[in-house]
Amino acid sequence: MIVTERASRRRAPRAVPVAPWLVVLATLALAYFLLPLVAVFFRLPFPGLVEKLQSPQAFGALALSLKTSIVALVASIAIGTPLAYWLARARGRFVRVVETFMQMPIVVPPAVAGVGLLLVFGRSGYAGPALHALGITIPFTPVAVVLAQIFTGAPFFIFSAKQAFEGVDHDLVSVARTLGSTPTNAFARVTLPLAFSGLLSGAVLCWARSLGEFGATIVFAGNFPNSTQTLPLAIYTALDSSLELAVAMSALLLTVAFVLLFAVRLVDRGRTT
Amino acid sequence: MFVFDLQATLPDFALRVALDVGRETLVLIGPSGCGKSTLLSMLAGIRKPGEGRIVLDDEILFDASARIDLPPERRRIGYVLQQYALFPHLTVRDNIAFGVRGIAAAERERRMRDVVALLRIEALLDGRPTEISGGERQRVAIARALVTQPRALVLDEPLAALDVEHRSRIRLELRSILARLNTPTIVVSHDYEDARVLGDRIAVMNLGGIVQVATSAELIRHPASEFVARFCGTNLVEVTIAGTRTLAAFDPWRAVLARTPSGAQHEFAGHVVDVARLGAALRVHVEGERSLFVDLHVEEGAVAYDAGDAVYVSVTAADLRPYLPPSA
Repeated sequence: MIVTERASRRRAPRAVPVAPWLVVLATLALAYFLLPLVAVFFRLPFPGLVEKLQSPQAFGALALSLKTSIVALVASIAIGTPLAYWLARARGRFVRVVETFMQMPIVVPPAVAGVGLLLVFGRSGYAGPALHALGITIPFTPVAVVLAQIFTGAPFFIFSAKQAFEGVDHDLVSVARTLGSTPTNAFARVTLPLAFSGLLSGAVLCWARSLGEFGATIVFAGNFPNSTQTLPLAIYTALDSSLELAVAMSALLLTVAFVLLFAVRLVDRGRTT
Repeated sequence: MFVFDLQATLPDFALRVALDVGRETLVLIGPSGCGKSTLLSMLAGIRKPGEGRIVLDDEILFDASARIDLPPERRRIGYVLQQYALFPHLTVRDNIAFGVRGIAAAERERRMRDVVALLRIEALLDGRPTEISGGERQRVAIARALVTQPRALVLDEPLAALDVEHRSRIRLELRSILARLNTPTIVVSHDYEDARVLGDRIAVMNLGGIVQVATSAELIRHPASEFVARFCGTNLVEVTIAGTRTLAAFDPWRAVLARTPSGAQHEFAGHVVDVARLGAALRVHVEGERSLFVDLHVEEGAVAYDAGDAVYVSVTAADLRPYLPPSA
């Protein structure tokens, strides 16, 4: 994760000589990861890519993806920050159990998460009758898209935020209190600035995960253009009709991901130096 | 006046401390883990005591039975931690100004100038806490606390994080800073030297409570227990004087060391556990029924005592100072 990588970079380990065969193996591994990504950009000439993206299908999917993932990100930060802070500061067996459970969504296959959400929020789910009585339908609506994204994305933010909060020496908060800060004030003036880069990394991971969410969305929200068809679903759908369109949308999604990653590293560097 | 009587249940023992601190520096010494730091965090309001009360300048900060428990931000107690806990994301200047953000700019500037001058840290203001030395960090941490004009100051092991080579100089500087304050101050330390130099009075603490409160001269003259005697480097033995058993102290340089019993009235058998060189003296640490120190002049060291040697420590009646319990 980005957090741990940063921590190790700060210690700046001395470079040591590396065996040639290790370089070869590393290069092979690197090629495996980079080639598919590069391929997405070289399949079509650049003007072709841009032209393809101007189709209403691609545009609708992109707009929906951006809207839902931003709502999901804001919601994840809102519900995740207090939980992460509590996990970082509280002690005891109960906390460790909660912590383990919070990592479950990271390992659970997204399709399974979708089924689970359906079992809770679906018409015949546990919360179904209550929601129906209120006139609220969630499955197969944009709200379901957001819920699916929160479910699979938020744990990444929470995990990263918990680590960031743990990294803030509690003595600093204590001292801030004796210097006249209320708990809220101390959080804003000490904890938050010191945990900021960890929170930012977590938010980016969460957002990237939400943007790419596929399995839980297709199960829980369906694949309806302009309503629940996000960019990943649109790519999947386009593969049936037009490989070029699928490639173009893939390139777009990949560009957004790159920009996100790059922006975080830039912000991060600005803060550490 | 800073007056408190507190009780708390810690994982391994119960803590009970009652002290009365005037406009002076009181050094609280005791071994690691005896509850000293816990006590300070309870005074500052970071930890909650089980029972008792804390009164500072006639204001009740904590009273378990009356359910009064002021949060740290309303206690106005300056708290300086062992590692100084400077905010790493702020400059030295912003660290110091942290607690005076709410007050009028002119007053804030005046206070900043005053503490910066008192602690002689003008040159550090634009640096980061990570860029300055341990002794400088200590001064910044003290400045940060003082600028809020606390009604009391508590310092947790302010010298423990420093290199040995700078420690004694910084200790003297700290003394001159504390001497210029007119604030009740409690310094926690595990080192008797810190207590001797910094403390107007010294409170010796052992697991869970205060053993003795006195000036350093008084502690050495009449240590209340063997624990206190060991802490301040003097000897305490149980002797019979005029038919009654009593505790008595004697100075290590008055003791006589021999390999064979001399038949003296006050003589204690033991074996050497350590020989340390202090200037022109050799301090021989003898463990027997009691733990004793004997200072020998270097020239006498020709006798060459080694760890493990069986020895006899004797002292004349004239050099014994019977311990008088405070009630007597």
